[in-house]
Amino acid sequence: MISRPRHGTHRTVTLAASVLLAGAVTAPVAQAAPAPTQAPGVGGQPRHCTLDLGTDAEHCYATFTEAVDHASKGRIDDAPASARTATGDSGFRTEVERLADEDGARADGVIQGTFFDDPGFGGDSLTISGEGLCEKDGWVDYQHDLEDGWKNRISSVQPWGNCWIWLYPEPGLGGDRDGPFKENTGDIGDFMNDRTQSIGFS
Amino acid sequence: MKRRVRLSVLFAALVTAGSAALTPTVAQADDDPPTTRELLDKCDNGTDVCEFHPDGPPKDSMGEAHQVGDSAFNCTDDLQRSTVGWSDTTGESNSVGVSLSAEYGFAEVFKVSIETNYQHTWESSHTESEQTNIDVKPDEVGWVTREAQMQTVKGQYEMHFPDPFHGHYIWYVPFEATGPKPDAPSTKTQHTRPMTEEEKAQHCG
Repeated sequence: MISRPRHGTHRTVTLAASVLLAGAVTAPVAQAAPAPTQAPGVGGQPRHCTLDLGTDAEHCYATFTEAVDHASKGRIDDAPASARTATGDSGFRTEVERLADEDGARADGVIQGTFFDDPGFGGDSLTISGEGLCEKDGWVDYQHDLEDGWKNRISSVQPWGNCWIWLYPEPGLGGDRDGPFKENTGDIGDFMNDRTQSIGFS
Repeated sequence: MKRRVRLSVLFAALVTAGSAALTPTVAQADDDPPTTRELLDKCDNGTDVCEFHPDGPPKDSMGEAHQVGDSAFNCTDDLQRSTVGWSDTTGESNSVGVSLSAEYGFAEVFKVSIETNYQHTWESSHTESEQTNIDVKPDEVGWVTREAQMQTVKGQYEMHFPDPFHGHYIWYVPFEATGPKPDAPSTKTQHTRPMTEEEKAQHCG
């Protein structure tokens, strides 16, 4: 497993291309985006947070359903995926390059993983969304350094979006590594329990 | 770096492809979104990926207390021990109103998820039968109630389609199911109260 640094070109092209996606599929929301919880975790209830890797914006909600609604941009749906044959079409590439020069809105969120404070998917949760599905090509497609509030807490994980999850005890995918977690894992085991500080999605 | 760029183009092209294909039908898709049932019927029946992500551990609760068996009316002048025979079935309910015992793809995905994540099977129904003794004083009526232990699992289906379905390649579908908690004893309670005049007339006349 090799991680690759994210590159500006990738971001630019992706974001610009997202304009077209937004134009095509942004719709009256099936479920209105819930208001973020102002004081998450009050009353001892778990808080369910979302993190958008595109903006680093984090919002917390009272329920996981609300969090997923938010991570998918207020819908119970969405995001681009297949149609891989299009990549061989030069016309498409031209269009993409043209779009890359335009200002763009962020892509609709593709959920890549959910991380829980307790074993068995209990306690607080953090749902991370990014720009697309993982590629399954042996590379880390997306990575995230946990903010202090989430460091050394993760005990169970759920990969989404075709991703495998890798956990690291230091920022920047540093130190030991545990994974890949390929499916919902209610107990990540002693090796990395409550040690994770950065996450790789491959 | 070079590889990143290649991947970027791939992703962007995917977006473009989806957009181009969907544009004419967007209004229709948004005006007529699929129902949860319609989506879940596609699970493993037209999807590349259909997975269930539970949003937490199962939550236990007690089902509603309800009478099982017949009431026992004591029309004698002595304390009577009556035996009430009963059989009671606890069923399931879920957010789409379809039994998970049926052979639907989404039901199978759900049940496998429960087994994998929580190491127990999902029970769509559980039947319990018993003979319960109840002591009923003269001019009183006795009955038995039962409360079953239930479990509720909530989560989200993540569904990937090879082609846009109602305008989207990926759908996230919330789902919730409540069913009898496996291997959990129910609570049986004996009750008595004085008979009403109407009951006396009806049962002791």
